[in-house]
Amino acid sequence: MNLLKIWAYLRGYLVIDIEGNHGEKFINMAVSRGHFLWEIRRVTSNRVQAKIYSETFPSLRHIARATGSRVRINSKKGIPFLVKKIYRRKMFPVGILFFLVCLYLLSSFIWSVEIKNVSDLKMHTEGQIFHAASSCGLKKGALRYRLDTSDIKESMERKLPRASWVGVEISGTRAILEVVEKVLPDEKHLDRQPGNILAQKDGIIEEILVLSGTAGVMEGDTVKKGDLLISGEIIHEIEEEEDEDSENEDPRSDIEDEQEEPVYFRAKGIVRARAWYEFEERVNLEDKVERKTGQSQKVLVLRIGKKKFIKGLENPPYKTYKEEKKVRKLPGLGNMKIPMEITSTVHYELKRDKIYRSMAEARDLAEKNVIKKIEDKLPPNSKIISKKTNVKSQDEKKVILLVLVETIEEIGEFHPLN
Amino acid sequence: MGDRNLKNFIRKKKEKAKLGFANVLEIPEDILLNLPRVVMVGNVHVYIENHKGVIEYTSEKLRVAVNSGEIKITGEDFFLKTILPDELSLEGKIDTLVFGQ
Repeated sequence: MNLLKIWAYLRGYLVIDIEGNHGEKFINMAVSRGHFLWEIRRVTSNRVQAKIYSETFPSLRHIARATGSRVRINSKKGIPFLVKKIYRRKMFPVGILFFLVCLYLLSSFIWSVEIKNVSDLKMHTEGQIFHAASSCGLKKGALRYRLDTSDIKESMERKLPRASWVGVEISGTRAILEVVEKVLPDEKHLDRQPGNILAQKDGIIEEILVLSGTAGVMEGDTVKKGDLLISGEIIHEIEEEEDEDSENEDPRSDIEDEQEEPVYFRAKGIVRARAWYEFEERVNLEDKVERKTGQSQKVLVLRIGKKKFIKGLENPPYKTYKEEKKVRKLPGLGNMKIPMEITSTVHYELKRDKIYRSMAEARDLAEKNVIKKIEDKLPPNSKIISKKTNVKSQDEKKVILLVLVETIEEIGEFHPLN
Repeated sequence: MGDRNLKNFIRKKKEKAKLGFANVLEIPEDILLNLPRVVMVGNVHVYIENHKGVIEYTSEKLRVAVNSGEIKITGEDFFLKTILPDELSLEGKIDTLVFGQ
């Protein structure tokens, strides 16, 4: 039965209303003449609804006249009628086609070029990369299908000699560039100027590793700022011993010459020591803190040119508040900028609160403050091993604390010899 | 009128003979006697083959002419699904199906 419905839909069918007192007669006559009727329904006492193939309709008129009833088309259904309808409204499919073509054309251009991780680049500026890209053909308005990413990659790598790898990815109408820079060898290593490693601060040596030079201190030694840690001066004791073993060797005379004045190298090594930091911290036991009350209001401001459309209250009804602003702009087309932006601002209400700190809290705060102060100054691979806080003086409102922080850190610093 | 009675009598005799013949040879009656074949699916679907036209059709009643008289079907929500020169199918809630003269 479903197959019949599909077939009828493909051929096109009519829903007809047969009006008159002798619907049965009409049906009998139509059927006996070989017309196919289906889904016949009695709607009211003098009206019958039926479905017929569209081409049988003209011959039904005779039957209607003979049986004294009237036939009317209720609705036309099926593909032939649909095609006719579309044929009549020609601009509609043209519009669809136009839209698709526009979509295709617009999506075949590169609309924006972006660089990934610009802030990580040290040797290149954004402009340099954009310039290199545009000279390889990758710029705003370029045809997407003409671009060959591997070609662009290669020629960009050639144009940016300080880049070790260039990634070009085109996703939709957006091109994303990624530049990985070459890591040039540290200039320190190239420097062969002789010199010593001296202590840059006071401490107790925890660990000493000499890569070149002579150790001037031992583990456990206490050093002061400016003390010699690793000396670049090498005394040829070992070679002297070697000389005794191999007396007949030629370079012997040279070494003997050098023995009198020592050879100067560049001292290299790691010296880690325990160091101390002492700070005096003043902490208020009674303090004022601003806290969010949980109340907030959002304001949307749409700016078109000089006109402003505001949704919400621009000035919040709070005494003290904090605001978080987000500005969204439309991307400009080429050099043209669209003077339209949406600013969404959230105002959070703040409340001033008095808080009272216990002694333990005051200590914690002081330690935190001190660590914050040192952290930036500490060389890499440093470790804080202990913290100690002593009360220096105290009254009802404030306390002055002495914070002592012990760290293990690299204290060696290279000083060239003249 | 006597002539008609005689004709009726002869026709009945003829049919009786045909029925006997069909029984002996085991030929289906609907073929030999031109009888309607009625198939019902529960009380929702009636399928009649070898009908002679619709006498009355409303949403509660369908009367169909057949060779031996008429079939009267009553029920609710009738809906003639298809109708062809010698077969029709009816859907709806069927209460009764009666053979009449």
